[in-house]
Amino acid sequence: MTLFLNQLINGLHVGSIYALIALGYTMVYGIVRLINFAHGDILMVGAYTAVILTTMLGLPFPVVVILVILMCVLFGVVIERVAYKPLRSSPRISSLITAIGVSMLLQNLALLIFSPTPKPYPISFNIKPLTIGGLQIGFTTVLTIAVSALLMVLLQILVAKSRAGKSMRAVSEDYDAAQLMGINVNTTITFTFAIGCALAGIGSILYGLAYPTVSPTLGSLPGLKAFIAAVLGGIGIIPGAMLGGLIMGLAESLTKAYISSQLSDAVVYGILIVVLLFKPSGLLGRRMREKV
Amino acid sequence: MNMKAKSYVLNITALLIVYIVLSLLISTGTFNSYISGILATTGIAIMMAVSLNVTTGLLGQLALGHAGFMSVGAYTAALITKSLNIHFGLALPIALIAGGLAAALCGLLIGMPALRLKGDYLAIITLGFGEIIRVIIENLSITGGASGLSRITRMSRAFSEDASVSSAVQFSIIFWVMVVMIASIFTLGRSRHGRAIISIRENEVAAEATGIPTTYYKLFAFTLAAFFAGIAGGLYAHQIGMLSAKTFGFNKSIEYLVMVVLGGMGSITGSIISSAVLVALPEFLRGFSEWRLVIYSLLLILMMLFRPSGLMGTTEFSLLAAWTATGRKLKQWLGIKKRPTKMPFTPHYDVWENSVVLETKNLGISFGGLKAAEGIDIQLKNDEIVGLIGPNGAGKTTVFNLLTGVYQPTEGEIILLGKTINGMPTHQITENGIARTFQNIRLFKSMSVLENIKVAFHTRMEYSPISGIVRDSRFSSEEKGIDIRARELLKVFNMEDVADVRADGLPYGQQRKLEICRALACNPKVLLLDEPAAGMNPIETDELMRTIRLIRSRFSVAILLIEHDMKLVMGICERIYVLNYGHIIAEGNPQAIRNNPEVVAAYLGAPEQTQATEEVPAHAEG
Amino acid sequence: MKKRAVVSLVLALILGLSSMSAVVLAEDTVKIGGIGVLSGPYAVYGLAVQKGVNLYIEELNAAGGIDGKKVEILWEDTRGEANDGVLAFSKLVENDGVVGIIGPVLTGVTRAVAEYATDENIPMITPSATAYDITTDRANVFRTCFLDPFQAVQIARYAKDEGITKVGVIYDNGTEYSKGLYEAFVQECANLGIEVVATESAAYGDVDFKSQLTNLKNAAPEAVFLPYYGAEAALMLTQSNDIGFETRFLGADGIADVVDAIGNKALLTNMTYSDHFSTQADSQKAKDFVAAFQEKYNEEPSVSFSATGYDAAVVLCDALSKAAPEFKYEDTIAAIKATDVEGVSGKITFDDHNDPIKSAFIMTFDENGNKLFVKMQNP
Repeated sequence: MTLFLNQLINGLHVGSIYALIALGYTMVYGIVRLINFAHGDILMVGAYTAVILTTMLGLPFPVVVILVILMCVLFGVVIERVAYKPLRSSPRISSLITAIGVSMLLQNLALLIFSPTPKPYPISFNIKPLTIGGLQIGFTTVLTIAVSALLMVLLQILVAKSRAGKSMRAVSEDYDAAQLMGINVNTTITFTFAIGCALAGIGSILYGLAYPTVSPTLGSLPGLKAFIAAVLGGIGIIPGAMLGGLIMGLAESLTKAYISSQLSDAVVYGILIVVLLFKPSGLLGRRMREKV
Repeated sequence: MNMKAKSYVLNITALLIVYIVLSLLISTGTFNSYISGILATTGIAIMMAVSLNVTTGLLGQLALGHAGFMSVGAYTAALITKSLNIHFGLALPIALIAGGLAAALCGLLIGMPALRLKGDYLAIITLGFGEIIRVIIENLSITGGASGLSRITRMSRAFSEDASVSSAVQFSIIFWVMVVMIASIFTLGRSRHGRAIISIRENEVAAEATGIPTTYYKLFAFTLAAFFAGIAGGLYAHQIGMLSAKTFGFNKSIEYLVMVVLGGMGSITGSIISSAVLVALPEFLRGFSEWRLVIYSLLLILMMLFRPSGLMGTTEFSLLAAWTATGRKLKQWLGIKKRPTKMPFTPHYDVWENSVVLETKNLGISFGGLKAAEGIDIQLKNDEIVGLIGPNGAGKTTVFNLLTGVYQPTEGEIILLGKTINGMPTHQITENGIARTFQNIRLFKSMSVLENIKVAFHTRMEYSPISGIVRDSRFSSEEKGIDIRARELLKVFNMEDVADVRADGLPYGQQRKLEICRALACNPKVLLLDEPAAGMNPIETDELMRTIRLIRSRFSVAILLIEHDMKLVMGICERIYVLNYGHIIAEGNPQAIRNNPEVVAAYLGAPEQTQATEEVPAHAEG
Repeated sequence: MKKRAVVSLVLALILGLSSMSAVVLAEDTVKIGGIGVLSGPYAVYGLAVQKGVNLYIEELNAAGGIDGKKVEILWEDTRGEANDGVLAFSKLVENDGVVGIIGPVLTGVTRAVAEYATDENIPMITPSATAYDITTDRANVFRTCFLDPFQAVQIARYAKDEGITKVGVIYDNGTEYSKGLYEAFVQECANLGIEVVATESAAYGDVDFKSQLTNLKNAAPEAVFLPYYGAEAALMLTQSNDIGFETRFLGADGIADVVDAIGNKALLTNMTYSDHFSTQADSQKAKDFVAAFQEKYNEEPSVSFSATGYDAAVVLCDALSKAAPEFKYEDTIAAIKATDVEGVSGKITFDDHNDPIKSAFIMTFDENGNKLFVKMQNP
């Protein structure tokens, strides 16, 4: 039983990180109907920023956290303005290809600048695992789950109660109508990207604490899995991303623990395929009909 | 010989010269194995890009798992040549075809679920499937698992003791397979099957409504692309001599996608040029290999921002058209008998005066809890013109969508020419005798006016894809037939001189006419027109009224018409149904409807009403 | 006109390709080909080999070269891909006319290239491909590193010497290196009477091993065998620490660079592994090598493939000097077969399978991540 609980906690840990990343995907998709392939690579940007700031500049941890978040937001906003904004009225296939291009560009630039040799993540907490009941839970695990949960609650409040949140919801419901109502859609969209990337920035720190090697391709697999999580929960729906992330994390950990680790990748893609086939709008999503 | 024929012959000769020169250079060793390796790799890359173009360019869907098909073909072919104990020259074609078929099977199995989705979702699901294929291959012991397969017979060594001669054979095999593949895709794209696929890309809803079985053709295109990728994979395996599952991951799919996008999705010539450049260039720039991927990704982004149609857009190089002309000349020369022109089969509907051609009984549909339409009883008699009017949101287009199978009714029955058509897919309903136009004009924009019409003849033609590829007499006789018919049709609408203009280049009014013309080309008994006068001025509206009357008499169709333009409705309809909040609130001749207080109230919300001939301006949405 | 543009492009392509095939043989240098993974995720290994080889070539040229001629090494990048490896090979052999090849570095790529090398019967020495079948039936292919089966066996024996009776294993099912080591290790454990209490596997590319490590922790082994490369090993050590799993870890040569990838160096004191070389080796040649490496590159030869690369160059150049002045392939091969030289990683002679007869270095780390030499495990 303890073993199972431990595996469950492992799943929650991984799932929380997926959820944080998935939130970025889902918010962006909700507002501009774009799968931002490059979102996972923002994680990598955050990680390398931490490497530079800590090892080369020797800055203290709290400063690094803030700067990492700012850097991720900067990247996200710049990418949005330069690569995605001009294509807002183009066919979707163009935006999708551009997003793939941006992701490739980020990864290969990183390869060029930082070399492919993995670097250690410079931040770590050398705190003994906490013992609760009969369970030993790592400090990082507790931190990750707690921080993610807090952020999700804050995000929900932001979207539901604040003016900015209202604008975001309006633009994602009806782009044109929102404009007609006087909402500055460009600012709102940029703001959405910024929030998504800020979450990814925090996610990169939590990720680095758990998996402390940094390489240029760090973001692609978690990015893909987080995207699947967003689709699973219902893309465009914020609680859906959270739910999807947790389910993905649990599915992955439990498959690795009890079935086969080979299969965990297949299970992940399998979940994606099953969801897309039977309920493409996701667990919490509503069916959208094409107007004929 | 006229100019066109001359240029074709020149082009064919150029192709042959290139082949002979290159193979001689290789067989004499002037081009060493390094160069011949590059040529072989280029040929295979071209095949992969061109096959991906069938899905991405022709069908218009982004597929991100294409390398998976290549790996299935590669492994299948390699396993076959490894286990068959016959001469390699015999084993290789068997292996290649088997590889292609295995990949095609995968394409079919994946396509069936995947093609139900569109756009982003389709892209992601194909990515998922591609990765699953890779994981499976990595874990099977028959494919060597993590170590992969090695010591596969190589074409550059198997055909002769002399490596140069064997390499020349390898080059020949790859070259001619590539040429056949390209020519097949090119000619198929210009046959009725290609037209069907392109029409799906342009406007899937309209294609389905014009009688194209869209699900079948999407699968067809996808499976065909997989088949070609499988053959390319088999050739790859026997060029390089060893396989590892990791080679065929997401990154490889992206490499080929880059080639297709940069060359121009939909342009075979573009794919050829960009593949050749993107394979050969890194070899020239070996010193800068780290920059290669950075440059590719930048190119991708810049292309999408500034030239999304790619290098060549959708245009083709005339060399490929030479295939057609050669075939024709060859047949003439060999004196092969030509078939007489085959006119498309024109179904005759067995109806007499005053019989009911379309009838609905208690038709209704609810979306969730909302009843969008309820208790609809409509009757349409032979050769009648009937109007369907009502305020915005009344459910008029919903009724059309029910009649054409876009929505499935949750209650009631639809009877067309005595046959219940509930549950039939749209294209089948079209085949059974209903055609429609749409509120927002749905034309196949990049096709010419004539081609838009030709799509409608699809269901009444018979020649197979093979006929389309080899351009045999079945193909030419049928194509000639529909060409005549299509032009006849255009003449009725005074559009025969714009036959070759791109559909989206027409002025608005003519686009409407084209849509109606295309609907008529489906040879329906019932024609549904959804707000045909939208956006027209009074003069155009008058012309439309004349056109509709002409249609009814010339083509003997019953017409059901949704309109807001009261002048048109009152002027042309013999009977009118009025719809409000999903129910029919009135039915009768124009006079009766005009004076019906309920109708007036529904439209204007007040008891006093003056002239019902007042033109109600066309609304933004219906 | 478009047509003209395309025709000129095709012509340019043909001209370009033909110009590349013009073989320009400088008469005054001995050309050797170097093939390795110089870019991409595994570049660290290729670059290490390159440094070792280049160091030796430089020393040799300073001492007069081979037969009075300078030695020139031409490097080509495989990016870790078999296809590129083959093209690189073709270019070096056909275009550049090299008389011998050092490399490739990765096992998979080496397999592909070895086929072609055997066709040409050109001498090829790989400093790092450890899979057994690479040299099977290939008289022209040699290696200066020990094999996976060999090192797995040595590690099992080391464990036995340490009194370990229960082990756990976690391996990567997607790479041949890891799987091969795992299989050989488990077999030897069976021979030695060591119980394998838990076996876990992970997919290639995974970063989260907590589930598997939790299972292993549950089985309470005295040591865990980790046939992985350094980057993943770093993750596993850290995650084990996170979940409170304390045990000894055993690894093979690929794990050596874990010290670069891990943040908490103190965890490395629990890690013991086998390697081809140690900077603390006490032979004179080894000491000289370490010093020269430090001077040229300003760093220690931390990846042992620098040493095996250096040795490959030693063997090849030694053989070439015997095959001078014509440097015919067959002569060089015969000379390599008869090699009996002192390399930096020990004495080098070859057995019937073209594998070197040498020992394994058993290594560990101190709490600052410095490598510590433990003992030599001899065959």
